[in-house]
Amino acid sequence: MAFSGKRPPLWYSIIFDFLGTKTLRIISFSMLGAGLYTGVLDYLENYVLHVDFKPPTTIFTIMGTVLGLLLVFRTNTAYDRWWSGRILLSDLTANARSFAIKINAYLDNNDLKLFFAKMISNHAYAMKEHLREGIKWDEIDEIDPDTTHRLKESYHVPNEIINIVNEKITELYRKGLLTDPQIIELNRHADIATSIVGSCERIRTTPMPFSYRVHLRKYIFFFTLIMPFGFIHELNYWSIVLVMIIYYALAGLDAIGEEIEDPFGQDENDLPVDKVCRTIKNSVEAVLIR
Amino acid sequence: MADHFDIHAMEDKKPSMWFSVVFDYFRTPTLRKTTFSALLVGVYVLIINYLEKFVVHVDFHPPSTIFYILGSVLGWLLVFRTYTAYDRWWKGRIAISYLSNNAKNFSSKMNAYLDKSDIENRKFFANMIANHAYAMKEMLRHGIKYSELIETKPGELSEIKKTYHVPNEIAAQLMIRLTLLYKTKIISYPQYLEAHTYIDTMNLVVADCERIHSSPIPFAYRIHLKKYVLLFAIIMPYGFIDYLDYWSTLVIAVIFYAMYGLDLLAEEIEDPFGDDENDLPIDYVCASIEKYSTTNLQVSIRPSHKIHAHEH
Repeated sequence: MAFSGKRPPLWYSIIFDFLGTKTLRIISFSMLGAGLYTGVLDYLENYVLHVDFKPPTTIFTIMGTVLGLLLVFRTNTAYDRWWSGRILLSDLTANARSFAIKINAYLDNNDLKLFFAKMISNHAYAMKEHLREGIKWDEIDEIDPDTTHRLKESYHVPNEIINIVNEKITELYRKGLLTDPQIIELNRHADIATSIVGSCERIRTTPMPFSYRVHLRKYIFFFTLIMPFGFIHELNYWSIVLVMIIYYALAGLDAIGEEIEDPFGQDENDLPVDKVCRTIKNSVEAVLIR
Repeated sequence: MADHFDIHAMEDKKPSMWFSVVFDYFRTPTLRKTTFSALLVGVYVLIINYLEKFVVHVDFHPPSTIFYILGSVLGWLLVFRTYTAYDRWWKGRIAISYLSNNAKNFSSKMNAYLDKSDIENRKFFANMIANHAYAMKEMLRHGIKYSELIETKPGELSEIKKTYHVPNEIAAQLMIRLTLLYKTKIISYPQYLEAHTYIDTMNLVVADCERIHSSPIPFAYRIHLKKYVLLFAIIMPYGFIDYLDYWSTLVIAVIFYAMYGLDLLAEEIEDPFGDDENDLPIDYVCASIEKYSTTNLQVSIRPSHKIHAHEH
C-alpha cells in the first residue's frame, strides 16, 4: 500500500512516542510554567496568605462551555483545511491521469507525448515545492533549454508550466492535430490544474482569523490562572500534576490545530505530498512513455 | 532571477512562544473594545456585591442548575453565531481565490489564442481582468476608486465610468471584445465557447461576494444573542457573590469577556472584505491577479511596471 499512514503496531506503543511528539515540544515551556504557577500559588495560599478564594464548580462549567466551543471551532477549521488539502491532492492525481490518457489517445507523435508527460509531472513537483520554500530544480524534468530558462525566469512556476502547455495545445490545434472537442477537453484539464494550485495556496496562506487565535489563547491563559484555586485547598501539591495535565489537553489541541492547518510541509502530520507527486509521475509516464 | 511569487507575504508572523500571542494586545482592536465592556460588567458586579452585603440583603440565591441551563443555551447560540460568521469569511476567501484562478486561466488561454504581435488585444485583456478585480474590491468597500483602475489608452474607461455596476460593465466589454475576435476568426468556435465560462465565473464571484457583503446574520438572532449575554451577566453575580465576595468581579469579568468577545469577533469577520486585521487579504489577491494577467499575456499595462517579456 502506497498510502498506508503512520499506524503504530500496538496501541500502547504510542505512549512511548509521547516525549517525541511535536505538540509536547511546542507547549512544554508553558506547561512547566503552569505547573510552577500552581506550585507557587499552592505554597502561598496554604502556608502564607490564606486568601480562601474557593470558586464554586459552576464557574468551571460555564467557562468550560465557552472553552469547549472555542476548541471545537479551532479543531474543526484546522482539520477542514487539512482534509480539503487532501482532496485537492487527489483531484490533482485524477486530473493528471485523465489528462495523460486523453493525450495518449489524441496524439501519435512520441515526442509530443513525452513533452506532455514531463509537463504534467513537472507541474505536480513544482506545485509541491511552491507550497513549501521554493522550487527544487533537480526535480523538474528538462524539456529544452528555452523552456527551462522561461520557467526559471517565471514569477510563478506552476502557472508558467500550464501557460506553456496551453500554448502547445493551441499550436497543435492550429496545425490540425487536435479537433474542436479535443481542445475543449484538454483546456479543461489545464484549467483544473491551475485551479488546484490556487486552492492549495488559499489553504497555505489563510490560517484561522488572527483574533480568534488570540482570543482562544487568552482564554486558556485565564482559565489556567483560575483553575488552581479549584484544587489547591483539597489536593495540595497534587494539583500541580492535575493542572499540568489539563493544560496539556487544552493547549495541546490548539497547538495541533496550528500544526495541521498548513498541511503541505514535511512533518509527521502533513499530507503525503511527495508520494502524490511520485504517483502522478509514475502514472503519467506509464501511459505516455512506452 | 525574476521576483518569485512570495507565498509568505500574506501570513502573520508566527509567535515564537505558544503563549506570547496572549499579550499581543495592541494588534487586536476588536478585543480591546471587549475589554471596556468587561470592565463595566466588573464595576456592576462590585456594586451588586456591595449593595447585597451591606445595604439591601435581597438574598436572591439562584441554584447552580440555572447557570448550567443558561450556559448550555448560550453555548449553542455562540456556536451558531461563530460558525455562520466564519462560514461567510471562508466562503469569501474561496470566492476571491476562484477569481484569482479564473484570472490565471483566462489570461493563459488568451495568451495562447492571441498572436504574439497583437499587443493591443493582449493589453486589453490583461488590463480588463486586473480592473475587474480592483473594481470588485472597492465596490465591496466604499465604492469604486477610479484612480485604482488602469487605463492603457486614453478613453478606455470612459464607458465604464458612466455605468452603475462597474464589474458587470467590465465583463460586458470583455464579452464584446471576445465576440469581435470570434467574428473576425481570430478565435475559433470552441475557444469562444470556453471563454464564456471565464466571463460567467467572474460574474458568479462578484455575486457571491455581494451576497456575503450584504447578508449578515438575521438581525433578530444578533439582538437575541446580545440580550442573552447581557442578561446572563446581570444574573451571574447573584450566583457567586456569596461564595466569592469581591473575587466574583474578576471571575465574572473574565467569563463575560470570553462570551462577548466571541460575539464581537463574529460581527467583525462576517463581512470579510474590509481592511482590518481579520479581513481577507483581498488587496494582495488583486495585486497578484494583475501580476498573473500581465505575466501570462506578456505585456505591461502600467508605465512603470516592469515585467519579463519572454523571448522566443
